[in-house]
Amino acid sequence: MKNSLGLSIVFIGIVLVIIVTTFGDASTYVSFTEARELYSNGNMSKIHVVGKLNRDTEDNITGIKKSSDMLSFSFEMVDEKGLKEDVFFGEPMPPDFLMSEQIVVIGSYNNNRFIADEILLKCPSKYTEENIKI
Amino acid sequence: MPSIGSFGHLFIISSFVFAILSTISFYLVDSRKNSTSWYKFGRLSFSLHSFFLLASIALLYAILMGNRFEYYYAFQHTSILLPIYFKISAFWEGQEGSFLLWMFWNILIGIYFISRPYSKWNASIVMVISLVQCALTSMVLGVNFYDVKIGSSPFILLRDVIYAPIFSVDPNYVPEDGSGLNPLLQNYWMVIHPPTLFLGFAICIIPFSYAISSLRLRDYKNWLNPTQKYLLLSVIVLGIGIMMGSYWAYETLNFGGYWNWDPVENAVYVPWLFLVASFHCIILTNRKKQYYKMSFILSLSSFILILYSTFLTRSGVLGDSSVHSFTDLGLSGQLLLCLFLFILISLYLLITRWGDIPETLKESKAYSGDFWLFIGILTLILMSFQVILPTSIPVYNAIVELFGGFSNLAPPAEKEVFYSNAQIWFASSLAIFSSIAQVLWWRKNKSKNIVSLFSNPLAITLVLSSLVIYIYPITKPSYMILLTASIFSIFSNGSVLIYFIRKKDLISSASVSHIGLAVMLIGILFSSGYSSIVSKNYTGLVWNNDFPDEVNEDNMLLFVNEDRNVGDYRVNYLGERKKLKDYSGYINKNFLELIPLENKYIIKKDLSLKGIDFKENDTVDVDNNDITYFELNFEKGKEVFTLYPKVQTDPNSDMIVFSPDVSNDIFQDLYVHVRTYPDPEQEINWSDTDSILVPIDQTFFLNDYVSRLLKVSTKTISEDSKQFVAEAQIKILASGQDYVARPAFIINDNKVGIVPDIIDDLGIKVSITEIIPEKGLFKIKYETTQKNWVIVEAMQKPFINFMWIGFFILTFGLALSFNKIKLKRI
Repeated sequence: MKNSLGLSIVFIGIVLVIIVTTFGDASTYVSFTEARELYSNGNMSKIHVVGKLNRDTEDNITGIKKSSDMLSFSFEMVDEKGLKEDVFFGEPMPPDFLMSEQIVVIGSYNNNRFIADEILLKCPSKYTEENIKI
Repeated sequence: MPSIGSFGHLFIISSFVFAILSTISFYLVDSRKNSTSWYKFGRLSFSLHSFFLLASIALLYAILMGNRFEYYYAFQHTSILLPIYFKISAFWEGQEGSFLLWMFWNILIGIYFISRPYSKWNASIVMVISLVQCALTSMVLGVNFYDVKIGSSPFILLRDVIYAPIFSVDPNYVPEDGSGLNPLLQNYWMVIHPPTLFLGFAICIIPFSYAISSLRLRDYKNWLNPTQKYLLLSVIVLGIGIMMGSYWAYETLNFGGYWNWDPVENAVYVPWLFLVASFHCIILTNRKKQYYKMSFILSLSSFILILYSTFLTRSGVLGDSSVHSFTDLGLSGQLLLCLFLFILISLYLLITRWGDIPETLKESKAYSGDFWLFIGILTLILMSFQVILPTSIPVYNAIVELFGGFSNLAPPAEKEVFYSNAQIWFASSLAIFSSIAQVLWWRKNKSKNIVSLFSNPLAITLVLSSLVIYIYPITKPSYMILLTASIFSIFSNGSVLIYFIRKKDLISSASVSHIGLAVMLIGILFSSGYSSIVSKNYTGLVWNNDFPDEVNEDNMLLFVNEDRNVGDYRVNYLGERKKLKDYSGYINKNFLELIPLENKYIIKKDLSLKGIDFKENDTVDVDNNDITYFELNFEKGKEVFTLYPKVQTDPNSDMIVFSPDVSNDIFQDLYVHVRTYPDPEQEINWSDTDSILVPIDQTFFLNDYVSRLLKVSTKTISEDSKQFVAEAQIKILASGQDYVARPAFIINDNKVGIVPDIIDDLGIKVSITEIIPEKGLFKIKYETTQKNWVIVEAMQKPFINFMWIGFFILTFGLALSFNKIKLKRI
């Protein structure tokens, strides 16, 4: 029995370590206000912010600034609490970006500006309205 | 007359009904007296199910091939100009098509089993396959049951899906063209990668069905042999499918690697590890009559993990954490239901049979092969757990929220670091455990001293790995350990291989596979751990203040026709290129003149490319108008090569995809991709207008370039009109490349029209503004702007070939093992 008992203990031990590190290293979904608080407290860890592109009253997307070289762009994003923030992304605009119904930015504040390292998009499901280009 | 789509829908519903009938009849085979007639009826039902499903697949193909854009699936996934092989892959771009693909393979497997002679086992296996088919067919059913939508049909009409004002004006409106296939998927790997992956998924049903049948039939011995064989097959096929996907990512995407730890990738990596674990456990059970329960749990959970990964990627639950999961079809409830159905069936059978399942109480000795094999299995389970747990964080959040709680956990932000740092230790352990297990398993009885078995491989390993660590040099402890473990695995498995060849003239396929794995690990270690940027910006110039720092520091700006050092290479950017249809070479974009609206081009000068002659004014087709290649000439000593990284734009969206080109060398790859180039749609600011009067055939300077007016051809468009066209041909010489400009001068009823010609590469716009016939002089005006440029990133990936070679060795070894397993008839 000795071997299997030892093995079980090691196995369960590693499982626990994996659980602890996973939840320890997990990032969080926060609002821009909370992200700014983290930043001003000197916490530089990367966080996720969920939100939408900023739209005006006529449902047009506003606040997109493309750099002339297509290498980077910035946009206005409204988080789930309704707070608007400028987000800078150091890569070309991802495909379907303008069609997204929800976006998640992963990154952090840097020099008072939110810098996204990664952008994830949720595109409309096929049963919502879409426009056909004719 | 009902439409083709309503036939398709009808076929899918029929195939669903026959899948249910087939499941029920095969279930009754075992429990009724007149089992043969139930078996016959089951066979008939399964055949009809297959027939209707194949017919609906054929109809969907007909819709895609026939550009029937009144159907949403065709509108969404194809377009008229899409070549035929991409129309094939458009089939599985959407969720519905990929479900059909999966079911297609399941059908073939089911047909194989019903065509074999009757046995209780075969009946039970087809029963499980039919049940899985019920679940999968329900996903494409497209039926509304009261308010509940069951499945999403691929035969739905565009006007039923999309609200557009045009349909209220004309309900029969059909769009002229579809929205086309995602440019990222317009790649030959995407034609073969998904079918292979889904074939792997489908084969996993066989071990699952054997395990279920064994528990149902309370026969715990006979399932081991076929399960071992089919588990191995699923490991091989799924493995090839995964590697095709990584090769596609390496070649097409520009993140610079083959593996990104994206949830979608993790969702197939984990079931694959589980299949490997089940395979090894079944070997133990089959040979040593140990760990029966573990074998059941692993075989059942491998398939359940496949279903779980299907749920993850298709339910939309990963929407916030994955870049490339499918769009949400609103099937999450249904997917969850199927997942729970199969979990419950497995649990029910396991619990009710638990006491029956044989078990040996004999404890394995620490110096036996079985013991280390078992530890290897546990390592594989832990390895999977470490990946699936963080990947499941969105599911965890959803569950917490279901119970009214709140959870804002997100998957690790720097996932590459998070996963790689843990997986490297598991991989090292696997390399070590597999070597010890192999050596002890095969050679222990023949030798009295266990230590002597390991002394030679260990000695060679220590010498070789310290040499590599010292010379390369490797400084990270985890890398040192992975390298040492892999080298140890190569030599200890090698010792088993040599032993068998000497003694019995046999090839130990297991050793071959383990050596392959070790070689692969070395390739992964170097290519990922020591991938380095070659294109460091040493000029001290900042390309653009708006660029992210990383671009200014790690990328080089290259002007056309100007040499610049990139790392050790002398690189010359030669300009933008296009590929012609049915012709393998590249052609300078400046030699082509677009004919508006026709999607064709005119050749601007006589050319000879790779032995094929083109004449001035020939009309040619460009292979894909949306793709532009950048010709980059690399020189290092005597080594000269040309790379063609490319960019693909999508006219329907803002999408820009830069794909790399790779120079393969035995020891390293040079991976080059363009980060940015002048926006073709941006307005150009022309400056420095200047003009010059020249006769034909006289050399002159256009800006700084030696040029010559070769000829001016004149033509009158038609006899009655007074239109007169003069088109000049000006040859411009720039750093070894010949360009040609063809500005035109038009007189129409005393009105003068000037059609300039632009040479993008040189940043010159040339026009004829005046003709003085009596003196034979032409006034040539030119304006200038910035020369063409690109910003490139070049990376070195050392020993990446070891990964691909290792994978081939691994697969070869597995195939040898597969061949050796003789199927017993049950």
